[in-house]
Amino acid sequence: MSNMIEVKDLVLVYSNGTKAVDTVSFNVKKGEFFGFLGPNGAGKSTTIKVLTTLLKKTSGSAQIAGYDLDKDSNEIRKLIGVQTQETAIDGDLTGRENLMLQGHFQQLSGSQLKDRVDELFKLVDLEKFSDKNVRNYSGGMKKRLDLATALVHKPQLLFLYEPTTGLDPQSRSAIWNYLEKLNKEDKTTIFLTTQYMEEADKLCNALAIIDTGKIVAAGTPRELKEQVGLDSIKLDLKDCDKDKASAIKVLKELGGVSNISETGGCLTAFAKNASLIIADIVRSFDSLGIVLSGVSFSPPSLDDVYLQKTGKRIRTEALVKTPNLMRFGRRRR
Amino acid sequence: MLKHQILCVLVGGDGDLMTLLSDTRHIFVRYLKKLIRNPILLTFSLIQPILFLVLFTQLFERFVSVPGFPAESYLLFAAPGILLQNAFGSALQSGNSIVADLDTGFLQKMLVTPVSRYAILLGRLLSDAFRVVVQSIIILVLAFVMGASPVTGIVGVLLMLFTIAFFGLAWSGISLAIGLKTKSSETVFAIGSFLTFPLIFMSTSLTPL
Ligand SMILES: Nc1ncnc2c1ncn2[C@@H]1O[C@H](COP(=O)(O)OP(=O)(O)O)[C@@H](O)[C@H]1O
Ligand SMILES: [Mg+2]
Repeated sequence: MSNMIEVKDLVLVYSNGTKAVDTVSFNVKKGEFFGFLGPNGAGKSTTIKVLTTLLKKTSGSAQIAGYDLDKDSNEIRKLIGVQTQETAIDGDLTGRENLMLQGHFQQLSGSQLKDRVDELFKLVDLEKFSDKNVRNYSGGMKKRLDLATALVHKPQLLFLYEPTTGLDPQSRSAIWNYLEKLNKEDKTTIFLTTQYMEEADKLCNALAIIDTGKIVAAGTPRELKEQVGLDSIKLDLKDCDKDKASAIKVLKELGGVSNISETGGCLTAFAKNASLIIADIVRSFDSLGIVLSGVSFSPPSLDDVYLQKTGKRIRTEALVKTPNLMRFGRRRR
Repeated sequence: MLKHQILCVLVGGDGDLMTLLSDTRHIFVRYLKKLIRNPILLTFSLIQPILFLVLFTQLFERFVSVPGFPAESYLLFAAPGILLQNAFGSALQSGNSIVADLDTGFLQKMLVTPVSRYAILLGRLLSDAFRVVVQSIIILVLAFVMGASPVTGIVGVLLMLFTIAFFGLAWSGISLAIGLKTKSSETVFAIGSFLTFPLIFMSTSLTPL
């Protein structure tokens, strides 16, 4: 049995008639780091609630580690760890009390639990605050403690709901390192939802994208990027408002540009082979007096995959500076 | 809706008696800690019965001279009613606690663990009963200081505390049910006061029939 999660034709209809999950099928292999992506309202939370035994599915079948979701829900609860959307820790209790309580819920006790709790505080770097009331924790500290509570019983399968949203870059990369270690060394299967494509790209070795209750794409990050297949060329114009129209016209006349979209810097053009076409673009712009303040291109990213599959752009703030493959010198007046 | 589905999960868990007992204990302790660490809430829920005790005994002392009044002093007459009212009032906050746990996601966090589903409710109910008994003891001590001595002796007092604990249990059960059903603490509060106040004034707890 190599699958940790097997979902077949899963349907969940809320009592008001909303079909939040519509005939969804996917598998997550044991040991996989699985990314579950999709825009708001796509059905991610609902799917997770079903898989974590919080909601009864309407139809279809689902198994976790071979256990049936309906019949063996208590067995499933022993082997999953869940970090929910809400950072659900009790502000009236100390960090340690929260962790101990969660351990008790998992039927742990005695020195085994105490040692595990100490270990977890070290891990999430909250040793100094373990006996402080959680009410006085910062947002990032709460998030880290919440992650620790999901890990207290060393779950085989870990559900993570946007684990790094709202964290500063340092905490974020610390969590990334830890999750990678958890996945590689402890062989924990991880089911991750995230708003950050870069996070999914860095961590996950399998992905599924869900939109309006249906899976619209699935595969490894590389497979998905190859499906999209286009490089994106980011063109920052010095005077975007003035030159945009003529720039678009030039790009359209140029053979090889298959798509243009208006984005943050100004324009993004998509082409099969950016390195061949970029010189032409720069030359044509020059001859028309369109001043570029920057040009960069990148192979297809998960962002592009996501955009193409869902028609929506996910939050695109840069998490960690990634070096561009090629960067032309900025032209300045 | 969702709350219905959550309820299904609530009663659907299994687990043996030992886990039920230990889970109940941990949830019971959690609520007690929360209570102790919110002294303002605790103080205010004691202020009302104490005010009643002091105020009404002054106001209504002359009831005693009405022929056929069933007790020697008004204090002696009213104390048990005030105790019950305190039990009602305090236990009614139970529903709010479950709504708060739903809102913060803490309930969901409990429900994804193998914790006994019954323990979640039982731990809360027992913590309410415990709280009501402790508050009653405080009120009784105050009444004693003010001059009331229970005619039934210590056994009577214990019996009374026992009864009050059960009232607390029942009332907090009702409140929990309302909380789970409506998922709104305003509703719990509104229905709670709606039930408590007329009951008190219609009953013979503060004025004899
Ligand atoms: N309790 C609920 N009752 C009815 N509809 C709901 C409920 N929760 C979510 N939905 C609807 O189900 C769909 C999927 O929601 P959700 O699973 O929360 O999406 P996501 O987590 O991907 O943002 C949305 O259309 C949402 O409005
Ligand atoms: Mg969601």
